[in-house]
Amino acid sequence: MKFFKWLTGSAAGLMLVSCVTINIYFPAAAAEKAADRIIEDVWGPATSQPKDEAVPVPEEQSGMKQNEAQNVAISVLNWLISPAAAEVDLNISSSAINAIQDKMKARHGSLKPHYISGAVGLTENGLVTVRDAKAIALKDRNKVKGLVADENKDRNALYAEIARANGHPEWQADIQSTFARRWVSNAAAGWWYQSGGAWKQK
Amino acid sequence: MSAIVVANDNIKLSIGLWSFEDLNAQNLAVDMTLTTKGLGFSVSADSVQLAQPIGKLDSLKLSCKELLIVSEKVSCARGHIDFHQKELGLQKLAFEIEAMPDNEKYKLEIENLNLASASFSVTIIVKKDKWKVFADTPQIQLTSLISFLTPYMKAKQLEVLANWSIEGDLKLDIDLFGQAEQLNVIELDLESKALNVSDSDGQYVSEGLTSTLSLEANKIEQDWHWDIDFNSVAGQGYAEPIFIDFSETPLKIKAQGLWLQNKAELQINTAKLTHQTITEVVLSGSGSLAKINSLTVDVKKSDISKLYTSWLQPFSVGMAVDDVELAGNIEFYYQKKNGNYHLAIGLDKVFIDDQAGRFGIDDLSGTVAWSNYNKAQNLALSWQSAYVYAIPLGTSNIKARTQSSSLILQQPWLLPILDGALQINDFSLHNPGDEHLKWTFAGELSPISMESLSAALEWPLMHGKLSGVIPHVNYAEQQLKVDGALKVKLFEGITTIRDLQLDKPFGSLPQLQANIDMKGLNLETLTQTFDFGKITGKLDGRLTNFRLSNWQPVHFDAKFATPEGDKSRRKISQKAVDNLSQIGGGATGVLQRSFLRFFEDFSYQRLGLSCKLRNEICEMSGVGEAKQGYYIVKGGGLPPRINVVGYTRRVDWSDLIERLKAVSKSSGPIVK
Repeated sequence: MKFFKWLTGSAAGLMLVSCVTINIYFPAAAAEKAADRIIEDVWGPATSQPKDEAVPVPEEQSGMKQNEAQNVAISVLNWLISPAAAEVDLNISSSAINAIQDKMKARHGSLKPHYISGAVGLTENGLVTVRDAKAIALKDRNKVKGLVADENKDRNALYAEIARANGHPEWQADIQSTFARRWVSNAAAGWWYQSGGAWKQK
Repeated sequence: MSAIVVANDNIKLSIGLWSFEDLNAQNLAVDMTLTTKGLGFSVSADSVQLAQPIGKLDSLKLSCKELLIVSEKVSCARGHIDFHQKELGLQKLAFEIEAMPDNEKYKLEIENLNLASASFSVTIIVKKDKWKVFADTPQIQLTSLISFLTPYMKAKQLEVLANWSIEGDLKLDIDLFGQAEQLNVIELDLESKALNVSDSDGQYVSEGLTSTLSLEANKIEQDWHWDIDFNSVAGQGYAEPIFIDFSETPLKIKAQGLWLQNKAELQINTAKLTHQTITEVVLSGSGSLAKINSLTVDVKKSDISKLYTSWLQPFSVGMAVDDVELAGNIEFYYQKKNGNYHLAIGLDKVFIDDQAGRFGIDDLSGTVAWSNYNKAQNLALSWQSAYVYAIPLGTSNIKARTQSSSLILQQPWLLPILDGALQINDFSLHNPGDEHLKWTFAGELSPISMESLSAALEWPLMHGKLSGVIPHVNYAEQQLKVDGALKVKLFEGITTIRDLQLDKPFGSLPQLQANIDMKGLNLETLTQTFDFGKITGKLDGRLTNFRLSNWQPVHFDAKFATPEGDKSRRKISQKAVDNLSQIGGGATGVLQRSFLRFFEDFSYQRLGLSCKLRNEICEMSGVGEAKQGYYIVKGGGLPPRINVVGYTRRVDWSDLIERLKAVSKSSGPIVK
């Protein structure tokens, strides 16, 4: 008890108390889990790879590192205070998110052959792009360009909606970069993704 | 060392090394025979050194069976020459020559000239300083032609060529006329077969292209006057983003113009492009590679649906109109000069239907005119019917004047919506057709009956009127904002919609936000509408931070309650009590099991419910705190009184919706 008295009386204690509002920080781990759930649903289980596979994190992701540092702070606090106070879950089930997820899932059947052929690749910012137009039959090129445009429209809407649904529209960029890494991590062998501006094949 | 042998009519001459001016020959042997018609001779040499650009010829054999020398004419009808040269390789040519040196007239015909694995025949006619060259080849492989030409190309040309993959066969027929060092006329006939061309990015591609091209160019003073005729017969072509299957829809181009050599400027006097069964376009213009000075495009009346598939849809990927069903006719005229352009689109009985069901229009006719400078034009459009999502729009027409990228209405635009109308008074439009589209208007909504609106939206039948003055509606950056308040007379009260904002109305997830206030709703009418069980009294409501995503509620703070100081008679029926307790998560039929079942209705002091919707969860509350719960209905007034207490604080939004649906379907409690 003396220890706690000292703790609450000291400056460090004050800091801890004020830090209880920590759940405004972006819940990186929860976001990854949420992203994986959506990706698994959209791409189907056949695509998913072992979760702990190392994915190269682009260097410019300093924002994420900050979040990770905050996560460490959160876990320390969780241990010190009560876990419930800082634990944040990311909600990904709303009719809007489900609707968009269903559209992406329906589209995946048409996009998948192009991920495999390398015609379409995953970009660093969680979107897709036509990587090698020559891998697409002439008559299908515009169709694939349309699919890519629609997919990106939906992906952007999905990231924005998850942020909004969780009451933090400002998380959109963090959610997008979380997804960017998880799409790559969940991609099947042979698919192409962008890393540090260059194309790499899984 | 030399030797001469003479026998009968035959002279043989061998020379080890013979030099004359620029000509050097080694082991030269000449054999001459006198025939009945003239002189036959053959010459052979191990090597002959000629002036550049020919250079050294090895293993030369030249023969002429009949060399005729008649008065001033020297001719050889059937000559042969074999040699090997570094660039030309081994050649075995047949030739015919006629020369009249006194008149400076020469004619040389060569056959079997082997260049780039193809056999050329070439005829050269020279008369004084005028010359003509006729060359043709039955078939030449483009890959061989390119490797043959490579040594003669400049580094820059090679660099360009390295970005292309080219294969296929060509049939060439070239006629060139000139004088001294000047080329004056080019006549070219080119037939391609199975032509596969692609640049490294795959932006310009042809596959299996079979086509014919004829070009005629005459040089008059410094400028070339040209005439082109192109016909595609089979194969496919792609020039981002346009794809054409030439077998299905052949393309013909007939064009003529000028190439101004000094200015490096191309001038197209007229180009007629016929895309069979689809459209016909007449073009003219001038410009250089870097800049278009002027351009006129005239698309003749075409079937909009065919034109859309081939020429419009590829450009609209990602826009709201990238997947629509179309019918009707369209014509188009565009003129651009020095950065100023004006255009006119003629529409004739056009039908548009978005495949995602977001918008449509029927029997759209008229003219859309637009310019980016001070040219004023009239815009007039009319249509029979249209729709936006589930809302039907009636017959309407717009008359406006357009000038300098803006539009001014010439008369108020009346847009019928259901049984009411939106009258638009001030309307301005900027950048139509691109993502920076912007428009604003002010208007008035004349009453739309809630009966028709609720029917269109498949809501329960509601009574009342929707009307309001719209001071300012603004659409920019895919966001629609309504300034001012929309007032709806609903259930005898007034509902005010403020801060209405719609984001990306035609995007993946349209977002609607608003704050809604409801004052003095008559509960009796309301409960009748929803078949809820009769409640009398007044009700006030407030929906703040209301947000629909994809037209589904995802976020709001709702509070409905009896207004403070309500003077009306407040009664609640058994059925309503039952339904309210059901919404509050309680059991149904409690009343029926108690003595209260003998009363038809009860007095109440206040009633109300609130719901804070977040993350699909509705946090509920009522008009006051009760023991372990909250009052949904607080009894008061004359007995019998009743209290309804809710105990569930958090309800899944989907559960709540199910409960509400169940309530509106239930026939109500059976009173025994």
